[in-house]
Amino acid sequence: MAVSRVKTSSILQGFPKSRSLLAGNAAYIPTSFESIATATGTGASGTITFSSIPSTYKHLQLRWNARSTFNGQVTSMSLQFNGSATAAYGRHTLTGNTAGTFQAGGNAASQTSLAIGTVPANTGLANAMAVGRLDISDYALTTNNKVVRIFNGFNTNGSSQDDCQFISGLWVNTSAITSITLTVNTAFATTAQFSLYGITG
Amino acid sequence: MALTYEAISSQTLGTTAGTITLSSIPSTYTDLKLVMTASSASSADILLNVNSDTATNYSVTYFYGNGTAGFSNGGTNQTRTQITALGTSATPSFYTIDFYSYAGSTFKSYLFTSAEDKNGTGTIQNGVGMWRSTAAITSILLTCSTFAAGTTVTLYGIKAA
Repeated sequence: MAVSRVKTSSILQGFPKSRSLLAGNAAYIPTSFESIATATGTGASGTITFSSIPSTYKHLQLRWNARSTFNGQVTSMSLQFNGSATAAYGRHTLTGNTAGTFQAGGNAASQTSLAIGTVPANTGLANAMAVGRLDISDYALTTNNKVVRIFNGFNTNGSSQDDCQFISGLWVNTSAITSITLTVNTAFATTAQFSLYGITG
Repeated sequence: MALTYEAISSQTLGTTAGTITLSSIPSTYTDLKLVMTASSASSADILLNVNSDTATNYSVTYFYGNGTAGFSNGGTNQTRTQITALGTSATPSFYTIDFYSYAGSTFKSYLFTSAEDKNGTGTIQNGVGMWRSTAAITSILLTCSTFAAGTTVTLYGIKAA
């Protein structure tokens, strides 16, 4: 009988357990959080694109440690799905900053891209990075618009208006997400790193 | 297949303790994620230090809500990162700390969350901290006046391709 599907529960119940599928080894446990691709800034380009994203996962998570070479203390970072610049992105944001200004009212509708945070730039504190993660649920469904959740922040020890944000994002489009393009002003620094992961269902 | 999301260490306190140390962290992952469920008889804050550094190399920005309103704040040149108060043994608090590129060449930034609910009072907090050092993070120290027995801490490594 051909094996068409393997579940962790079936492997671990009543059968010999093997990590390398050789008897006597530790149990083989299929991973549910897989690395799809990584990208590093070049110092010359303000865009990074993850393309040909397979539709075989349930959810996606993008994680970053990012900085720009823009000639300023900070600059914003945004994304587009499937290369679409149609005014179909929305967001709501909770923001806190070191100055003590809490904002719960940040929202935008019908944007041509989704702003996903602020990153330190060339005249900001050297070596300071913005970090964040973006979760995209059911990215491959073709029946729903796409909803995302972002947690980001950057800290420069007070040399700029440091902040952290919790964001809900919407892409009014039912297409499966097959590419993600990230954009900053000028260029991503060579220390900028992005990692895309797939989460199985 | 190499594991992408892997438990590095896990511990459950059998007795009360003032500190929890995670040491000998390998540099083979891309990011780290710490998950903790903690409680205390007192309501002291949790303090975070890495690599035993207690110099003024830490800064933080955060916002929080207490069921009534939202606030934000932060600090610079601190000797540690302070995270909100612990729950009690009946209502433990839930914490996560994500360390990004913890073994990379830049300063180390981390995102943290805390969820504390005492069935009528409590806080939820999100924040970003920075440790101004280019050294790889090899140990994490959590300090509190008293972590209660039963407090659990698990450290995961997340590995990119």
